[in-house]
Amino acid sequence: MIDQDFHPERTKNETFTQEEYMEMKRDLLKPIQHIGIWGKVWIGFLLAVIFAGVYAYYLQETKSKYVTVSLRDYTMWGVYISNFVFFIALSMIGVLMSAVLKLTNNEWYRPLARIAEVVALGAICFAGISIVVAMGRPDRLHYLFMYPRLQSPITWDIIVVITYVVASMLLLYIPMIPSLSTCRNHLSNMPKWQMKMYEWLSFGWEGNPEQWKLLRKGVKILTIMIIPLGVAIQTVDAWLFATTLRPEWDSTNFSGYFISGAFLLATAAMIVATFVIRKAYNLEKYLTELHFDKLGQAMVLMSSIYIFFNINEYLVPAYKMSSMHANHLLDMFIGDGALMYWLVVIFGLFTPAILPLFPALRKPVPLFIIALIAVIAHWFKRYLIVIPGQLHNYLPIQDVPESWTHYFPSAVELTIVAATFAGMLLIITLFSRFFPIISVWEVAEGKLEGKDEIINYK
Amino acid sequence: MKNIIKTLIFVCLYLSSGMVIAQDKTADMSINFVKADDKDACQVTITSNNKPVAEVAVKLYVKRLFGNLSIGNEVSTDENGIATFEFPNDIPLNAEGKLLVLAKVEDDENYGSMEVEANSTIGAKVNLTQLELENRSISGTNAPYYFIAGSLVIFAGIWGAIIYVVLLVFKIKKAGTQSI
Repeated sequence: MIDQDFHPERTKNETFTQEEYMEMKRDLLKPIQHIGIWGKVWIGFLLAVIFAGVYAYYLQETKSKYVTVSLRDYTMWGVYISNFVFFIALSMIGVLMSAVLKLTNNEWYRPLARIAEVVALGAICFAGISIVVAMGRPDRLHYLFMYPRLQSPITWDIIVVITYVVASMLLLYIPMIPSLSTCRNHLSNMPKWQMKMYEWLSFGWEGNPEQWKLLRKGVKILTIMIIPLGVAIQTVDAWLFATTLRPEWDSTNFSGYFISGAFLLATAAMIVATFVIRKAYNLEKYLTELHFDKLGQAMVLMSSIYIFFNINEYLVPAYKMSSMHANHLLDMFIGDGALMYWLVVIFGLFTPAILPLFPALRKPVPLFIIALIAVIAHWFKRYLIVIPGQLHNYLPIQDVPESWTHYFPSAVELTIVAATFAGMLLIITLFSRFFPIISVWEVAEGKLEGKDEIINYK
Repeated sequence: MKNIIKTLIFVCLYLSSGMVIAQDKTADMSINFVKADDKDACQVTITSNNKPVAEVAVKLYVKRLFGNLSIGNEVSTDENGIATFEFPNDIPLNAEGKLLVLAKVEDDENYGSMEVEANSTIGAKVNLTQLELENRSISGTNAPYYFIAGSLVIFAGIWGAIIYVVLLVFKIKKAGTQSI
């Protein structure tokens, strides 16, 4: 099979119509050249939240954990772990946008790929940080590397998270090399260090056919590799739970449940990120209504798959209602957890599955609102997966302290969780301030190929 | 009638006091390991004042990590004061190549409870290092070889591809320099 991507003649077309290309460059480099007052306020706010989180972590590690966090003998995995699961799921956004859409020739992925990769990188970094924050003895972190037990999902998790971080960084960086060269050549009035950075990072890029060939080859390998890696990271994450004997996690369905949930969250988060970046940087010309329409349709598909897995996960055990499961399930359906559970079902599963079926609701603003609510619901979905099941003891125990039987995250825990979000958003914000958030050459290339789906770029 | 009751009470008291006195009787207990019909046997001998004591029920145990493993059923001593137990030779020996064998008499009407211990060398010798090596399992401390090999193949495949891609990036730089 001849690989068309490597065909040298095609690389000649990279020059694009000069005038259009210059205009595109101007538009896409604009966010780097100017940072408004609101941009500064936003960065300042994120930094303030991060510092609050760092201080909360200092308190957590210096004071008694019994005082600073709400974790007890029953609920040993709290909001840090559910936040970790959320970020891991969010990191699937890179797989969805950069790999799945690309390999299935959905050309509309082009302006979205880099946004997705930055979000994925931010998410996976803070997933790692969340797990360290959750450690009772972070001073023993290096033991995980020094004395790994290969059969343990914890060890797999470390391996797969590190691998995914590296692969995501490369998948973000390599397609960006031509864009960095563009920054180096076309940006002016920038600080000297910033220009030096572009010079260094563009890695001697000249855009000759040999370089294009190598670049495409690298991107292709990573694009293919990131799919099994993404599946692996969700699966290992699911197995952290499913390999235990706790009835509410004891499911052969768990990895599929996590993967499908991650794809839904990734789609919803992509809509939110696209909308915000489109508004913040006036990129309506590139992030068009077509993208929202397509993402809305994708969200319906992903929601439907996730609903299917939820039926498997909840209704099959509920049909049997064995005593092992009854505690947890009844708590979810009609007990203390019912309000959160049903809100998540409505806003996290059915709303994104049904509302975007109507074309009018796939317009940017309504779809953004639906997706934002779904993202929030999915944070709580992970909370519901991790925490309520632990509140039931295995064996009847008398004189259980009151604080063991319920869990509500402490102020310290909530501050640190808020800081992880701020950290991820800061990565995205700073990235978009220093690098083109939309890949100029990928958009241009897509336009050249004259695919119908991207016709509205003209 | 009163006399009868008095007599009964007296008899009861006499018997019970006699039992108390009887329990004060001392007996010696010893464990020997012998070969009988090519099989290993454990003989528990009970003597009192150097005379064999018959009809005393004896139980035999081997001490394990979390409790005592019962060896066969209860056996009563014969007229020679010996209770013979068939002793299995497949119980894993400890790190020193020994087993701690316990013989117990529990609540005997004459001798009360007694216990004696002896070390035996009958059993399966276990090379602990070998055990550790061969007992590789998913649930154990050490992973099975196939698991390590499979993991390394996947790890090497993925990281090999990553390193290859990084090398491609350096090639990109080289390709740029060459064309100048």
